Amino acid sequence: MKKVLIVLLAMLFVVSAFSFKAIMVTDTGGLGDKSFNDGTWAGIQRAAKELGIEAKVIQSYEQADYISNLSKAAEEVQKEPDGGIVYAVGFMMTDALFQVAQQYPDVYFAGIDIAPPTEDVPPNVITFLFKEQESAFLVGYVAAATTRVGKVGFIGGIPIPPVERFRYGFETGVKVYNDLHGTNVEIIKGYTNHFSDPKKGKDLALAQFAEGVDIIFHASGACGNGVIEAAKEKMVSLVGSEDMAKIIEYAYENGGYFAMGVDVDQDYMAPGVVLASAMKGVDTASYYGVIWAYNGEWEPGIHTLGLVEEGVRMSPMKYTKGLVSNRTIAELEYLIKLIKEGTLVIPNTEDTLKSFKTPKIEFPF
Amino acid sequence: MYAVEMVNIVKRFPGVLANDHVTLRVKKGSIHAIVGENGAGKSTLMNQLYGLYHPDEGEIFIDGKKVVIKGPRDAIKEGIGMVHQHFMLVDTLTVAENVVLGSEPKKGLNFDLKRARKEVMELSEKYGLTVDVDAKVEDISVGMQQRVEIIKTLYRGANIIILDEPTAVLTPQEVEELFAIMRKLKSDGKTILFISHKLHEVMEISDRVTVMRLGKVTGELETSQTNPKEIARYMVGRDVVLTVTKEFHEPKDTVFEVKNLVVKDNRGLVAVNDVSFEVKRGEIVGIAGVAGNGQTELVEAITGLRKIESGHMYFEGKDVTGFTPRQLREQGMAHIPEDRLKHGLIKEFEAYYNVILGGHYKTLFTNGPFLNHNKIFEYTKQLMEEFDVRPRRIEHLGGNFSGGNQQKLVVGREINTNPKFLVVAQPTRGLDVGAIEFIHKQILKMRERDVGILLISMELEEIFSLSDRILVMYEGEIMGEVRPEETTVEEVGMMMTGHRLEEARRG
Amino acid sequence: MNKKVMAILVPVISVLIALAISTIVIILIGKNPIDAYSALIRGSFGSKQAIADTVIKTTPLILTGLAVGFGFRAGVFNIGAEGQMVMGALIAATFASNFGSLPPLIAIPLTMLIAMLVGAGYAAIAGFLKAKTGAHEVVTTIMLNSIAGNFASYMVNGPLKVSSGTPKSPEIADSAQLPVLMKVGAIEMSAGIIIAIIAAIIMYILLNKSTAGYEIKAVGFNPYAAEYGGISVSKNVVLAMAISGALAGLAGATELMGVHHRFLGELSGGKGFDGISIALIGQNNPIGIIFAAFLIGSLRTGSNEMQFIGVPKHMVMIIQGIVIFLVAADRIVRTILIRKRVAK
Ligand SMILES: Nc1ncnc2c1ncn2[C@@H]1O[C@H](COP(=O)(O)OP(=O)(O)OP(=O)(O)O)[C@@H](O)[C@H]1O
Ligand SMILES: [Mg+2]
Repeated sequence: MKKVLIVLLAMLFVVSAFSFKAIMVTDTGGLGDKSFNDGTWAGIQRAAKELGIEAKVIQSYEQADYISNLSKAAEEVQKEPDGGIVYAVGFMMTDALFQVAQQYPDVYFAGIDIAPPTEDVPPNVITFLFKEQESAFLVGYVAAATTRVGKVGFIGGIPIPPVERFRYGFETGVKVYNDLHGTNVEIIKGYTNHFSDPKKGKDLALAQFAEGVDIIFHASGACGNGVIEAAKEKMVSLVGSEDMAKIIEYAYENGGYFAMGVDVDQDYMAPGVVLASAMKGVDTASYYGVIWAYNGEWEPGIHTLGLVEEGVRMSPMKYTKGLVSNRTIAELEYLIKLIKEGTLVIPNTEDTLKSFKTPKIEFPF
Repeated sequence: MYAVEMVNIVKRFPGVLANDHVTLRVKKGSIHAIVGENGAGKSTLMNQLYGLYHPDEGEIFIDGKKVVIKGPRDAIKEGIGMVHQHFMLVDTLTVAENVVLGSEPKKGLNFDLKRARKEVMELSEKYGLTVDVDAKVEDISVGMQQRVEIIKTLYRGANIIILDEPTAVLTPQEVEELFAIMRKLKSDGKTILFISHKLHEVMEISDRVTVMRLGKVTGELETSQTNPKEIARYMVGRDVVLTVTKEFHEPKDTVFEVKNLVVKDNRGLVAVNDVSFEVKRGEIVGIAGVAGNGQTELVEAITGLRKIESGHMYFEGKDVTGFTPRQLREQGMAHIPEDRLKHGLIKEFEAYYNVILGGHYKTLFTNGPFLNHNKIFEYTKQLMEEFDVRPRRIEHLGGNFSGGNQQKLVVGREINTNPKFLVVAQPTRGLDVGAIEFIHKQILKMRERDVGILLISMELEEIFSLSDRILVMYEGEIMGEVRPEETTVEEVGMMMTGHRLEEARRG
Repeated sequence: MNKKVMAILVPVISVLIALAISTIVIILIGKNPIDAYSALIRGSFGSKQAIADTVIKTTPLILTGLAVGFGFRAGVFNIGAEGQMVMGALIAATFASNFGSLPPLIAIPLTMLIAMLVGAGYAAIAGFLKAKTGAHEVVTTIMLNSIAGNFASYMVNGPLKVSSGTPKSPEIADSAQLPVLMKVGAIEMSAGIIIAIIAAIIMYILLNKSTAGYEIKAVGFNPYAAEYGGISVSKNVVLAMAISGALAGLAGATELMGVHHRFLGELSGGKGFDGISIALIGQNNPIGIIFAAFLIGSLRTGSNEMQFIGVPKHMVMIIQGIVIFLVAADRIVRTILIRKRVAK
């Protein structure tokens, strides 16, 4: 599957006469992670197509590749008369990005999910951060509203800040639901300590299901493929069929086992089993990065994207909307409005999470 | 009609011409013996028939049809089965599993062990090859393992069965049983190729004999029209007389002693039960007994390879119970093991590394923490010369020597350590007459040098001609002690089947 | 056919077959194989940066290859090089960040020694369990790997963590860093490669010239005969595991002291496992392992260049996979060679 995808992507390279280039360097998760590497690449490709420029990707095997691949990409871009932009995807590439960017001041660099380690960001670098907590808040709320056993799970990859922000949001979503509805939904948490090993995700998910949760939200990169697979296996064995209609029908009547996706809309990966996904607009970000660099509308520094900027959102729940009550969906709409207005601020640190108190919220219905 | 024709086969190994234009024709439904000195090229020839080696030149015909045998799989397809000189069983699997390995009956996708067991039991019953189908191979005796090998070829439907020195590891009783089986197979129309160094066996069982010497065929004889003397002449190129004369030699003080020794076998059953004896300097104490009566365990315990449950061992009066093999060697013990491929040799090591095993850390072979290869090479050359190990290549790998030459290498190595006490188990298994004579002489020479010797052998003849005293072992116990000149083979035979000396004497 | 010739021929032919198969795959995905291979070569040797990259990649692979290969020679299957490498580097990093006051002549060997001792000790656990309880080292080292991985991840995200950015430990003292042999842009090629080659030479001498090596090989080939020859099997199993672990720890040290200068969450990056492939391709021979590591190292560096012309990085994994498969199943290759002879 992964290979097919790569072959397809490889064939999609856009060759053009314009001499501006966008090169993306993946982290070790690589293309096919169905998560932020794929998402970033989609955005870059969209921009490349619109602008008629060339886009390329270099995948990294290991952490030691980051510096060398970023350097390679920068060298390649330097060869173009009009220059270009190099993307570093993923928090793990933070140090490498800033180290290499210093060496190539005439090349634009963009980091996805990367926070500059120091105050002063070089003028050739922009980084995109996301308010993951806002989209995670929404799926947390859905999870709390949908669980039939009062217990939901969270699986993180390596506990780096973006992963943690997903968790803060998820926990807050559950808490707000509990406070507004007088329920007592619990959360079990775990980490795979890895981003690229689906087996680890699956093992951990099966363990959590065994502990009695029925919905697991993951923020673990490619490990999440394993989480989704675990939920699907459990669900299929309950239903006795892989048929989506049967699964949804069963789920509507009796509940079951669900996963919640991350970064991109992962609902399609196991229709009916992936309840919703906490999306992060890496594609939007990467798209704008290319456009800005191409047009010279470069604003160096950090760009943080949340619900307002449409940098994060919840998946439209294409398959599973029927499993969630209309009232919950209406409540979500109202909560989104509150967040956009700034009335409801979702915590983005451990401390703010601890001190978070559900504000008084009265639904207008 | 020939079942097997091998025409002008040539096979070379580095430094050795193992088969030199060998032609062998075997009639269908006959028992055909191949004899020859150690290293004559018998196993090599058979290995080519079984597809383990590929001839450099020459052709092979099966039932008149030319075949190219690329591997055992092809050989099996042609209906050829082989029981090797050195068994090729998987130690950790059971008998039944070993037999069906590679041709397992399938039940769905799972290995159908039930059916396998049943089929193996049927085969073993049909040919009188009694084995415990559920025992692990590592837990059964060498004799038993051979039966497993034979059942294995039958199980695969072999019509041509190669038996490479099958009798070397068998008791006389077992040899008779094997011959009965062979006759049965022959009357079933199967063709049997039989290698042995024991000419009386060849005379008894075979229809024809091919004699080999230094890679060439030197004679093709009709068994009924020849005699052992003639065969031997073709083998060696001269008349051979097997006579080892034992001079009288006064034993000195005790060098080694065991008291109330109790040892368990691999399955945790008592194999050596309250055994006590002593060996004096300049004396050969023989242990006779049917295989599997605790001799193996006794030897392993004495040489430090097996845990002692209770009892004591003394070396020159010093308590050495629980000593490691190295500590025992340092006391002056040497050991010619029964299974040369399991304990005696490292097949992957060159001859020069094999001859230093056990003494490899001694200053004779080292240079500080390093091995002194020059000295080792020199030592190996001398040893190979002295013990007539062929081919005379110090870099020949242990596993690539012929069976007899492997034994000479081991014997030479152990004798050369100048031991005070030598444990010798089945020293002449698989040796040709000349080599047997040679090794017997070496053992007697050790005796003259006042070495204490414990000899374990299944060959009664060997025990009788070498020992000063004979202990007979049965089910882990010593049935009695006799002197060869004061007893008879019958008396010892009685004791070997469980009668105490007094009972045996009473008749 | 001669054993030594075979030992060289099998891997070489395997590589050729692998290249042939990948050529077909490259054509199938619509690329020009000549372009692809020239990119591969350009990427691994075509520039100073490429060469530096190749050497950097090769260094730890040699050491983990030696680690696993040494184990194989003694009859133990050390799958735990990954964990030993991580533990060695992690503990060494913790100490070496405080070595500022020591001169390099002391700080460098000391840091290496710590990494090797930790790797040795960590591997010896598995050796000890095998010798005493018979627990198979494959199982125990896999478990130890996962403990090491989780422990390291916890440490760099917790107690050792410095600043924001990639999870990492504090930088080790300048005096504990390996001298740089070549610097191209942000890429620094350290003296680690020299250490790796010296390690290979030492392993060669140990195995082929020393009494200890004789004992280890004897145990590896035939433990029964070794025991008969007065060689303690359990002692040598533990020893072999420890030496294997020390080499893995040294791999961690060169990555730490020569490349990252601090411990990173993904420092090992599967190189411990790569060691298994490399030992197989190099036929457990120290010199063979250097070549095998160099082969894989240059394939990997070159593959990044191949990606530019649209050949996915997985092509190199395919090549590597086929080579390993063929070498591991060298029967296949041998059969092909023999068949040819039989036919003629
Ligand atoms: N694989 C091998 N590599 C090198 N030399 C070999 C190999 N196999 C056999 N030889 C050599 O070929 C010659 C013939 O050996 P072979 O095993 O056929 O003898 P044999 O007649 O069976 O002797 P024995 O009665 O001692 O078993 C010997 O010199 C032996 O060392
Ligand atoms: Mg033979």
